[in-house]
Amino acid sequence: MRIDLGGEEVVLLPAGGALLPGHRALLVADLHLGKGAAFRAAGRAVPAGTSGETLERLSALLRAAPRDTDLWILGDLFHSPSGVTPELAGRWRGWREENPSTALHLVHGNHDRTLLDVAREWGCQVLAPPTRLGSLTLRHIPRERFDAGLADPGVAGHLHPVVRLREGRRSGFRLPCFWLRGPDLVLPALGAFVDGARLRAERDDRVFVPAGDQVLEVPPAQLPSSSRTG
Amino acid sequence: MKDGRPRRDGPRHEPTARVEAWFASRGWAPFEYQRTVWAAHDDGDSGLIHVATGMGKTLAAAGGPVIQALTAGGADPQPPSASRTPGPGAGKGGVKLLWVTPLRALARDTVQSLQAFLVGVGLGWTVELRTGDVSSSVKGRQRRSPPDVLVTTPESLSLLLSYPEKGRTFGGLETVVVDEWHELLGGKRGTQTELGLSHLRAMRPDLRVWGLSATLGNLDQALKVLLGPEGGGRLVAGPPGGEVVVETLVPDTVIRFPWSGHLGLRLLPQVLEELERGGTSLLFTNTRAQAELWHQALLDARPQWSEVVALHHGSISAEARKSAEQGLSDGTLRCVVCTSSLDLGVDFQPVDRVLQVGSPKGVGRLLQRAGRSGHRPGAKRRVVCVPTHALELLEFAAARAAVEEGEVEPREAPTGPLDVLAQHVVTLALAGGISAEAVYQEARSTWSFRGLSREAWGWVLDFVVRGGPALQAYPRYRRLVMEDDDRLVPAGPAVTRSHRQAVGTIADEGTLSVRFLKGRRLGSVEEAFLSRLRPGDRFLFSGRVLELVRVKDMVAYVRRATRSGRTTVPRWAGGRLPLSSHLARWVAAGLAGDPRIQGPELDALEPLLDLQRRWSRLPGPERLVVEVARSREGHHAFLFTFLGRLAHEGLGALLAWRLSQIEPRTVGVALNDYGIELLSPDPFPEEASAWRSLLDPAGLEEDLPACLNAAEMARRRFRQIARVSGLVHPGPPGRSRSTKNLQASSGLLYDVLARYDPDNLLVDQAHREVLERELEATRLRDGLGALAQRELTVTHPPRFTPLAFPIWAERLQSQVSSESWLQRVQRMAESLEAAAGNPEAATGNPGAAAGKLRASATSVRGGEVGPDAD
Repeated sequence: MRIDLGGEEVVLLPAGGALLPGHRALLVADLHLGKGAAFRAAGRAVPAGTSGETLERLSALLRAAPRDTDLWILGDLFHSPSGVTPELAGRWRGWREENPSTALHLVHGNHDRTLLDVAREWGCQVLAPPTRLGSLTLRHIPRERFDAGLADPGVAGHLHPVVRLREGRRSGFRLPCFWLRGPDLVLPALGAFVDGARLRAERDDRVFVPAGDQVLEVPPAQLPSSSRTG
Repeated sequence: MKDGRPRRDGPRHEPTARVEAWFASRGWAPFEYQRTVWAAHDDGDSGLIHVATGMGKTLAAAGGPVIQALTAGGADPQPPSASRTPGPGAGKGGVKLLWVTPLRALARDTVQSLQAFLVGVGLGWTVELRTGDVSSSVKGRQRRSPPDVLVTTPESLSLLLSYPEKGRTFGGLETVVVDEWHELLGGKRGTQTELGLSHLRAMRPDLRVWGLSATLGNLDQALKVLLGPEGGGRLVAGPPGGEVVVETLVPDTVIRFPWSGHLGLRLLPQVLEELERGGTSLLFTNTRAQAELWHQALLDARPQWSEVVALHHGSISAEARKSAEQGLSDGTLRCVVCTSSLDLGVDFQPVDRVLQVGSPKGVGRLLQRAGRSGHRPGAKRRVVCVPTHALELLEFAAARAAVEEGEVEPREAPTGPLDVLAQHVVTLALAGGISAEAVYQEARSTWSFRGLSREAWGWVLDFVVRGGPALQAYPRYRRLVMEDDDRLVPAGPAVTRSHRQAVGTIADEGTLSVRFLKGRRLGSVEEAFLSRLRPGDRFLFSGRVLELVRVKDMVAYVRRATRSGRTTVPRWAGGRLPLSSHLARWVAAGLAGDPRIQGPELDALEPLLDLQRRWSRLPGPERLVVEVARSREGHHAFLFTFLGRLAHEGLGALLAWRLSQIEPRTVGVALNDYGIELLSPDPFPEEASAWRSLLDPAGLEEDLPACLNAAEMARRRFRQIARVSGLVHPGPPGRSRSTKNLQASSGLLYDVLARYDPDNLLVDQAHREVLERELEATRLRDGLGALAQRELTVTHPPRFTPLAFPIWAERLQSQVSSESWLQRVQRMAESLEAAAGNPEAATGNPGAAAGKLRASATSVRGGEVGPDAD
């Protein structure tokens, strides 16, 4: 699915990233690496494997992207300091060896705040939000809908949007989604151990969901809106 | 017991005489069962007392320990005074009598009645409360210098067992009383209590444990759950609580095509008439939403009653509840509209009359509610039933017959929930470490874990020590540490702190607190409801029409609504109780004309039953009726199986699945407590033999998980398990920085566990709980066995019959929004009514009306976000 954002072409990928072909940039958000370990350290028995899965997803996105694509992480690369274990560092090194030439940019998010040095150590260029890429601004926390005119479009993360699509009334399923909300395109969370937050669409919002190997736009009538219904 | 102790039953036994004198001073005489309990306690026995509310159960249970203490010389030399200064012997040797009660509100009342009793007989024991409401400084003092009598909840008992001082607290414990055991028994709080008791017994092998219970269908089992399978114990029955009279407000006209949804407000004038007869009334409803609506309706009809009609349910603030309870005690209120929140024995004066809106769904519940009136021995307990649905007339008549026959439902204890055991192990380990083997032996002595295998126990130990069985699957897990192969200790102070905050098994439903802008708290509503409202929307809550101003940090700020407009009522989860199998059997018998079930209710229902007979057959305990019909919606099959809503959910899915195994087809399912509707574009079998094989109990165990979205149900079920086992923390999100990073939904955790540790026994437990607790697989299995014995008749009614119609309406409700549902059901009912009154029209196609209605409904389908069914 290709959309136009302030004159920039943006390709929404079913695996949860957005490609800016004009800038050779792959945008992802909310990896929350080490979240499982942080839980275990606090006595919550969450099995290992989720961070590995997250890095797997990242590799798959890069494999599908054109060569020499830069990776832009729009915040929350990490979850918390207690999750940054030697095991995670080892796994990251392994991932880095698979993708040695990819340039990494981290527009830091609220969870990264105390871990910026680790991110640098791990090879990321750490940038404070908002950061400009072409005509787009990149940030972690999206702006409120009317903070900026549509003339200043951007891409963000933080919200972990999911949309609940209903079939009739009983069943329904939740899908992580891209959410075009006011000036910002909000990316779905890439992390494998991350809760989604159900979005409530307003007029003029647009929502895109992965459907197999493509991305489809959800018809506005299907969207759970924040206006009163039934 | 020592030899040479004074004989308590001799006429000169002074302590017993003192107790009897205190009874006499109040104008009472001890009941025979109270004397029996006192003597049994004196003999060192434990047991279970089952007695109706208001028959002196507190004194029955407290008398034994008090007489023992008086015998041992703990009495004040001086005549009793009301002074609260501890008398001689107080505060030494720790808690002597521990009183466990399910409700904090109950705990306060118990402290007061015990104090009055102790002062009255001149025993200088101190009585203190230990619940979540007590300040931490008081809790600390209680650990250093425990009172003689401690009144607490199962959760607080667990907490007490997590402190190193537990030896001082309970080292001198003689007796434990578990109040309202029937309430605890059926759930995980009961399991938690069992485990707590097993540890106390290990500390004090001669400990006596007495349970207090309402009447249950399985008292022998209730006794075993309380005392352990090898615990012996005595079952003591109190006096019968006086005759229960079940009456019904029978509407002037009974509609032949009944459907639920209008909440019975049609009978408001008759209810007002009842209330106007003076005195105090309790109006019980089955859901909190219904309580809010009735409260509002009463005030709309009688604005002058605003000071004397109160509301009481589990979501309004404790302050508002307390004030309603106080009003009941003072007799200053005319009526309290309430839910099961007043089922429990919160002590107040018996009321003059009890009204029950809607089916009580069980005989035990109706008896308990009836017991709120006329507490004098021998006095009649009257309950006036208000039907919200024509078929409830039958349920009331059936309940009356069951009451007369003395049949009450059993309550089953959960079997071996490992989440509760895991929590218990950590709790005990916090108190300076614990031997794993000792905990295993203690657990095995309980009813719930009597069959706990070494393998399952090994898994629990792995779970609390390593996170899971595979060592490398849970690196750097920190909760408990195992020393010397047996000793469990906490991995650090953070574990201790966070576990103590999380002790308990009550699932947090994700609620937001509701407050006025000025700050006063009104109660709590479910997040799911509030998330559908926008600022400016109005809703009925805590007896007021409120306007939502904003939601911030898990608080919904509201103001009194000034402008008029549409008002919604919050919907709370868990409102739909299934009809108990006992009552369902009586209802089926009533339909079949069992002479024990009769009364004005059945007379009023006669036109409905007559039509059912004319168009089809009446089902009953001997006959299973399958109605096969066709409409423009497709082919319908209605089965009247009378197994209750939950079992029908499993049965409906099973039938749909088995039908689609024979040949691929789509089958929709709808259900109520009485039966199931199957809907399909293809015709259903018409031979009885085909239905017989579809209903075959053989293969149920394999078919049931295959035909349900068991994974999705287990995922939902996991919420409580994750909470109890310590995977998620119960605190409100965002309360502190340190826990904010540890928030994850139980659904996400379920997914992660199912994927990365598929053999996790907690995942397995979620599946078992779905089968047993949500789908009532046992009931379904037994039910199918019983159905196989019934004669099976397939009929072809010309239109939806009076028994089929409500199920059809139920399905419709699950598909469309409430407004269009009301219109459509009303129109359908009118058209069927016309057909029933006009036999010629009845030969037409039953779907004629439905077909038309369906066309009008398509416009509201797409993207509909309707309210969830309550």
